[in-house]
Amino acid sequence: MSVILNIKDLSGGYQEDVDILMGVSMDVQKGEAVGILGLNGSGKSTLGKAIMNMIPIRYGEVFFEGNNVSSLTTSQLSHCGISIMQQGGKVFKTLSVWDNLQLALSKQPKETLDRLKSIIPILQRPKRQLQRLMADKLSGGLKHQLSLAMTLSTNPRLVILDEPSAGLSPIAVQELYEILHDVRETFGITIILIEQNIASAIEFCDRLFLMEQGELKIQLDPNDKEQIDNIFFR
Amino acid sequence: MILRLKDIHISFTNAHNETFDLLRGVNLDVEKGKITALIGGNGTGKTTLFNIISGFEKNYKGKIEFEGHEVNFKRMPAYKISMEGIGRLFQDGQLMSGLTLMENMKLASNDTTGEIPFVSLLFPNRYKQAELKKEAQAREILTRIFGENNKYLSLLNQDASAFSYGEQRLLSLARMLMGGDRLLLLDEPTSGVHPQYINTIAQIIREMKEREGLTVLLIEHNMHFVREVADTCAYLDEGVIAEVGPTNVVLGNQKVRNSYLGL
Repeated sequence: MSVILNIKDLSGGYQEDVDILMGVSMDVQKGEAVGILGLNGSGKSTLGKAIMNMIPIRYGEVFFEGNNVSSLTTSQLSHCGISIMQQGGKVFKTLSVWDNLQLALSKQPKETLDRLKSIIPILQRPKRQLQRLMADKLSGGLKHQLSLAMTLSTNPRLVILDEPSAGLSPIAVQELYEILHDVRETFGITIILIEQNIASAIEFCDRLFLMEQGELKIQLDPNDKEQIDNIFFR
Repeated sequence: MILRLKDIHISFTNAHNETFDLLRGVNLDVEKGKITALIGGNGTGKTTLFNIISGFEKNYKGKIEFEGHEVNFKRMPAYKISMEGIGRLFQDGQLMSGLTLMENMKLASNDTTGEIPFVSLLFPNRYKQAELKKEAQAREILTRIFGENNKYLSLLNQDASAFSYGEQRLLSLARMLMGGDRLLLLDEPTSGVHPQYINTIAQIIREMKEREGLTVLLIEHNMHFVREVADTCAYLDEGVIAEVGPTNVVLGNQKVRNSYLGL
């Protein structure tokens, strides 16, 4: 296995004088799924945004596939092969499902849609129906599916998922994780998963990190039940 | 009975003039002093039902009784309904940015001393006392949820927009506990919240029910939480309340298990 993402001592936050991330370092191997857990406000989403260069970085570097990408903009990063799915399943609410997809796929080869169709159920509906269906009328589960499809539209090799299961019904959570399993198996995409749903994260991830006050404090083995019980279910 | 919904219907028309009936005759009694969970798949109309009760959605048919009287919610703006004692936590519950955390907390209090023009000028002491009381209450609530000497106590003067998405959800729930409401509508209080805080939230909601006789109607997908707090559970499916009863009975129902829990 080779390292796909290497983060060195990343520090920064939304304002120049207040650091949220306090020197985060980690390696992500190609093809693995790494989970980031932690209390609200510990800096999980901030880490995702920092990797994508969506917030000012004060110190530290990000290497993707061996290249230093710290100075690239968010859109350049997404062309290089890193994507993020943000909290709350973000889609363009006033557009139809089809138009949302067209926006995401506009510069991509034709096969991309077919590839996505094979694993994301909402895309398998007839085109006519997708053209008529407004994105804000979608149920939570379907909205997350659409958001995921848009995230995957650039054929990324690394995807950051920020709480993909929040707000979904139990059955929709199951469906979403089945899709995510397919995403890993079919496309071989490396995943960084930020989650509050600990049970799902344990099942899905190869490695887990616990984030505390802007630092990656503990690395957990998802199979080590005792350690996990001690930390989360005391 | 604090809230009674009778035969609530609502339908939507899309840009292509196709009509879709979302709620097709919802009947629900919410018992006073009890915690009722409203469950159901994504897109079944749970949040729409909350929108109707809290006055954001007027285009419905049916009747609503609050505390024994039929209230015409259609003619009441949302803020008036909230002044009647129905509080709501939104799905993407956010604090008001531009105000500090403390100002956000104080906003939610039902103590209006000082909000009447000139009162704060004529009775500066009374106004000051009221402000101090609200501040103490805000501190107490934050301590109850996050523990002694938690970080939020030192960030009370921070602008609300500086908190993370999850923190804002959690803090806007804390803000609801400032009082004044007799019925709380909570739209997914635990979504995106760390398990450690979920237990505390469950505990606080139960305490408020027992101590202050508060009634809670909540939408929730976290079944562990529902089992923990809810006395009654109502399952919304295909536009009607398909099952209602004690929580363990409804969650044990075969139909609910198959079509909602996926078991």
